[in-house]
Amino acid sequence: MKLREIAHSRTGDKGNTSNISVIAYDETHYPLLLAQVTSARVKAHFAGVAEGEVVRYELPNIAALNFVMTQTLGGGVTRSLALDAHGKSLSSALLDLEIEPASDNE
Amino acid sequence: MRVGGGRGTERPATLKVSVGYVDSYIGEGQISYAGPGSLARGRLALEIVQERLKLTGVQTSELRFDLIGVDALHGANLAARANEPYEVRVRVTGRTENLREAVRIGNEVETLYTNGPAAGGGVFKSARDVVAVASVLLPRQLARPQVRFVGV
Repeated sequence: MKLREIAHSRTGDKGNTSNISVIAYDETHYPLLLAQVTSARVKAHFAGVAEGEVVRYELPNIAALNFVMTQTLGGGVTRSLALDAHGKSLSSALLDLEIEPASDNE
Repeated sequence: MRVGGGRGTERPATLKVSVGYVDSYIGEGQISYAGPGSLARGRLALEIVQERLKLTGVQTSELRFDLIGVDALHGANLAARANEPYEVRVRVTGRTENLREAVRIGNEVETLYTNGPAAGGGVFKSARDVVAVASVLLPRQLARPQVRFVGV
């Protein structure tokens, strides 16, 4: 299934850095997010977009993750050539990630 | 409600300053193609503009070639799985050192009306200066606040 079926997301920007939250609709899905939405996977998903590091922060009390991606916004909103200079649409790209549902055996 | 245990650390020696500066100029042009083959025509138009900018010696430090509706937001990787769109909008942007070079970028897109793939339409051009903002840290002692009362 797609990540967008079990979570929502918002994007923020600071200079050349984008940060994207992933928030589970249902806290029982948080272990799925922890296991499958890793910083390595997010960095691979954004190959060609996130040119720097991708660091994951965990917020278990609200079943959320926050990904901070450097060198992602074409130099920052005030000088970028990009159509979406703030990168606000990046949250939609992240929600397209494929997620394996928890198997019934677990 | 009683709250206790508060503590602090020494204030930083620096202050964060957001500085605006004239960074560069950006020239831009857009044109649309529709119907069967529009994706191929859009891609060809981008190739033509790229080669024309090189041939005519337009001075740029950065160039970007987008197809709005296909890969303008997130690049080719994330857009790879999508089907062909009904219409595409070509978007070329470039960073230049002055306004004169920036204007040439939009012109190279506009000329696709008559010197490019068939049936391009809806050209838009712009050339603008870029005031960028950078955040820097200033030694605290350089900031000397003053207060002046004006009128009452």
